[in-house]
Amino acid sequence: MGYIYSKKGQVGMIEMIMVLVVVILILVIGIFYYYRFYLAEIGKTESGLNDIDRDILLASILTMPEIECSFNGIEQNCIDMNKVKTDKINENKGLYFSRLGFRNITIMDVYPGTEEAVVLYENPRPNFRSKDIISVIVPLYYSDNEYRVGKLVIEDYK
Amino acid sequence: MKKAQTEVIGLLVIVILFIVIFFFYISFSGQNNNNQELRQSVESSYFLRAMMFYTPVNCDKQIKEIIEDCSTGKVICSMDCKELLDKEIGNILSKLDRDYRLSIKTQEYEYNRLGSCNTGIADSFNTRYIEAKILIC
Repeated sequence: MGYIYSKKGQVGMIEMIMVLVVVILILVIGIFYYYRFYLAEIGKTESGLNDIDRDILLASILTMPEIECSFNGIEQNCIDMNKVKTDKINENKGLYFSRLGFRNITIMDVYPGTEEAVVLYENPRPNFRSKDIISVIVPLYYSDNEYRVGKLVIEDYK
Repeated sequence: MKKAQTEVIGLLVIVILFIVIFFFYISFSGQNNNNQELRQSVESSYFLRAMMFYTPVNCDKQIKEIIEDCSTGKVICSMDCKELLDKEIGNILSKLDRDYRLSIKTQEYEYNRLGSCNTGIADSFNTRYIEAKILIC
């Protein structure tokens, strides 16, 4: 009789252990997949922050003294092509990296121009994974009160 | 007693499963960064300025100055001012690769392009005589 009870107890213990093993397995798998998706979320957040940074740059780039046009001290919210052609920004990439990062920024004269591109800043990321390109129409100022329609193109390297 | 233990462990498994599902839900319902509004606002503003500041070829006046001076039959830069404006504004709008709604009004001149754009960020360009609005989708 004692032997039967002992065997029953052992079977019960084995059942308990199997249940515990399954529970722990579910927990481990759950934690594994949770952290995998958590890391993906961090990647998405990084990408989102990069997009915000780029849009802030887009909103503020026409106010950079190196390219903005102003008359009698009043800013006109346009790009002075005479300043752009001095290539000051591209020749001093190190000074502008903290603000412009790994990007290519070009300006094209689209109307009535030939869509020839002038490079404002060129600093592609080595071994980049992907590249976003955004462009906006901007006013361009040339000399003698001549304004044209241009396109500002930002290539954002990730 | 054994039945009770089994049921408790079963309940524990279900609770753990719920917790795991909850963590998955938290990880998927992250913040949705929508900075489209900033970009659209900037795009509308820059475009309107590009159009208003533009000086047509062989002309020493900007579009905004031509709009302000334009009246029926008036010739500016060797062309009827309304024809000149319709032509130049149309050409500039063709450089925009998105849908839009544009209206320009003065006392003597009106220009409207109502595309199929209904939602977007609008911007305006107003002077003493001009009321211009653009909506870019």
